[in-house]
Amino acid sequence: MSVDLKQFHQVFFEESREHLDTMEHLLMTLDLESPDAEELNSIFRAAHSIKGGSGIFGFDALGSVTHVMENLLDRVRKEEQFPDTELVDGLLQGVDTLRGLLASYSNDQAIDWDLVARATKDVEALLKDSDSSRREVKSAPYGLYDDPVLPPEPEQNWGLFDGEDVVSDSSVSADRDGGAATEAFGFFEPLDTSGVQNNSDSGTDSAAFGFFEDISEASELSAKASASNSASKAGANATTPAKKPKQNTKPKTTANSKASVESSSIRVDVDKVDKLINLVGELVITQSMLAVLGNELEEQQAEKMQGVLSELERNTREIQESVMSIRMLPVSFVFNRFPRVVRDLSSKLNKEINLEIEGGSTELDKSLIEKLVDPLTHLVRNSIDHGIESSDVRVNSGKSRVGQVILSASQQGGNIVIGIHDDGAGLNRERILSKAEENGIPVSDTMSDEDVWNLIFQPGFSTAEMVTDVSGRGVGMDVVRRNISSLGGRIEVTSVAGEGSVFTIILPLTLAIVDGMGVRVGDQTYIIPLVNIVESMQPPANSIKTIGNDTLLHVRDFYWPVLPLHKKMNVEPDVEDPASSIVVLVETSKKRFGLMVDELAGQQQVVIKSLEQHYRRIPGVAGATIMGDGSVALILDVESLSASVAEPVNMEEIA
Amino acid sequence: MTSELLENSTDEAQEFLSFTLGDEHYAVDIMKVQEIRGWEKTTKIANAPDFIKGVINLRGDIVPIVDLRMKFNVGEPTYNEFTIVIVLQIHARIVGIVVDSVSDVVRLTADQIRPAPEFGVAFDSRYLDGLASVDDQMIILVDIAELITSEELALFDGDTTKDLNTNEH
Repeated sequence: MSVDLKQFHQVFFEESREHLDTMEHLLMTLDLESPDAEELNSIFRAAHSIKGGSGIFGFDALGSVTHVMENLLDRVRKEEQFPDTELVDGLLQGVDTLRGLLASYSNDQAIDWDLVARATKDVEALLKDSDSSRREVKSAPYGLYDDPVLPPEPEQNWGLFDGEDVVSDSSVSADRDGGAATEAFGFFEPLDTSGVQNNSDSGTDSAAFGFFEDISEASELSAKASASNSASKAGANATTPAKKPKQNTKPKTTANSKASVESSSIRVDVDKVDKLINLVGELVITQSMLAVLGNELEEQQAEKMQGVLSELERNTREIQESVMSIRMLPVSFVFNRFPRVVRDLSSKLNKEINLEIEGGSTELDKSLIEKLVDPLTHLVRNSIDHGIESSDVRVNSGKSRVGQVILSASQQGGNIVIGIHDDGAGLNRERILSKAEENGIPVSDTMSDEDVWNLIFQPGFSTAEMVTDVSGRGVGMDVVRRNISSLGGRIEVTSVAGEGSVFTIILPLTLAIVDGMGVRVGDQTYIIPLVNIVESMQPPANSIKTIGNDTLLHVRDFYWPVLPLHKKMNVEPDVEDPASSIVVLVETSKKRFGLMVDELAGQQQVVIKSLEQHYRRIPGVAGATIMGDGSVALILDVESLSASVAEPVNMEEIA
Repeated sequence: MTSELLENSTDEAQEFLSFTLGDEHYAVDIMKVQEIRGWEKTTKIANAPDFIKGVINLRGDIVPIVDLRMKFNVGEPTYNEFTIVIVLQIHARIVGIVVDSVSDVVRLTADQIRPAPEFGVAFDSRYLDGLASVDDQMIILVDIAELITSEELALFDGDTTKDLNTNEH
């Protein structure tokens, strides 16, 4: 049975990372007054799963740390020890250590055994704090790992997976020397076969995978297979100590529900998804070409053809939509780590901070999500360290003791806007200016606030009076800006002294679909994102006013400046007279104006393609898309087009 | 013809795709050439220089098309089904160049390539790898990667940070 265990490593790493995330999340939300037994069980199970896996693969460092954590959790779960802040802190630190170890293992780096020993000791210290018989708890259920003595009923615990000796042997040897990899593999295959033997019709695959996810789940499945078998009962308790039969029912049910959730998702290489997305793009174009061809057919065939083609169109669209959604993840994937960051920092800096998260369900491309983590962490740390004042200062300046940090995300037009808002002291104009002078950056006292704030993005710029380990080394903001701009986004800052500051990250919706209106100007087609469009109209001649070189359109008590798109895009239009053109009234966060075009070409969903991949950014253009006939259309960036529009004119000024 | 001539060339012989611009014969490293296509209608890009004809859809990629004839004022910029676009792949970037015609694939060894003159051809000598003569015809070897990524063509954004700093104020 020489199977390369390495092929399972990646799965284990990913599973473990998820387990750690679960643990962290649950620990953060744990109600210390009356801890929910179910949550404690989940935390315990997560730790246990990691331990189980590490034993099999010989990741001893992971195993030893999770082991002590598990002991502690077990006590908490059995109400032998009550959770307090200290304990949660300790466990969270343990989670961090495990993350580090996991990273080391997955990158084939050397393990810092000192760190492991320290982490183990730290968690153990929490155990010792309480009076009771740690030794006993520790050795009884998990003697498997520490004690040479086998657990009292090994056959019943593990026998499920197959021949008793193989399994108990391998589990022990895997722990002892970490080298019995192939033997330890006995876990997988026997599991499979036992599944086949006991449950011939289904569930063998999920049972096999279940091992990675949660031992209790695997045993749960196998347990179902041989429900009448007395051994299965013990098996179902593989995660719970064999000596505690009373606890049987609870973990069993949760394992059940958890299993159903987890088995409904699979892991797929992102490259495969990308390839699929590209192929579907091609399919959509082919389908459009077919549709064009279909129109040219002879009559009696045409009718049949149309029916089939519309069917094809519907299916293609559905395929496209579902494929596109595969890569999108809610931004909460990044946001959810911040309660922890805020908690750690606020206790370290002795500030009281309340973090609010808004718009966590906003969807963002997976690659963007991953690259957002660092810059966002930086900004949140900055807000807490530099932005929010200490509680006393806040009270003295008439604010509430507790500082507010709001993380928000929303989709605005073709962009995702992420805001980090704090109600702290705001940026200090004088200090930034004097610091800039020190650094030899040319400044003047008459600079606008906006320009002053932008100085903080200069390399090596930090105004923190003290360099703390939280922030202040001045390597931050320029890196943040560089990271964001490498994602094709930008960062803006606004700040009011005494009231707080807002950092706004504006990211493009790469790979997203946009609902757009096609407009034609001369021989070119452009797409205007639908979210920007207020309405489209053929303007009545009497509502068109001209002031100097600017054309204004009077619609419903508002004078809309009109921007002739052909001038902006430098193409030859069919019509130059606004009265015989179509004006699309658009709206951005800052301005409202009209875009003058030749005609509307219909509303459609378009896939945003990057222009920067093979070319460069074009002012006023958010991206490109491929139209039904295979040609390229540019998607307009209404926000940046608005920059060339005159400030909105006040009614009174004209009237 | 050329193959006969260069049959006995040494191992380090390199293959070049030769093309014409006006009356001059040029060649580029064939490893940089992805494909040769006929002309197709492009989507115009606002405020780009004339020699950037626009972008096309190349199997899902949005690819810019540069008319070298216009850039270097050689040949007649006409566009019909006989107009040739050489699609190049340079540092993961794809760019199409419009030329008058594509002639041949030539194998050249290092000793057949002579240094480029300082003047006399449409290309700045910065973008030239050298000269070679095949069948009594002078072929100008173009360092196409250097040309395509040059600031003169301004096909790509420069350093991101640099851009940001200049845009800022």
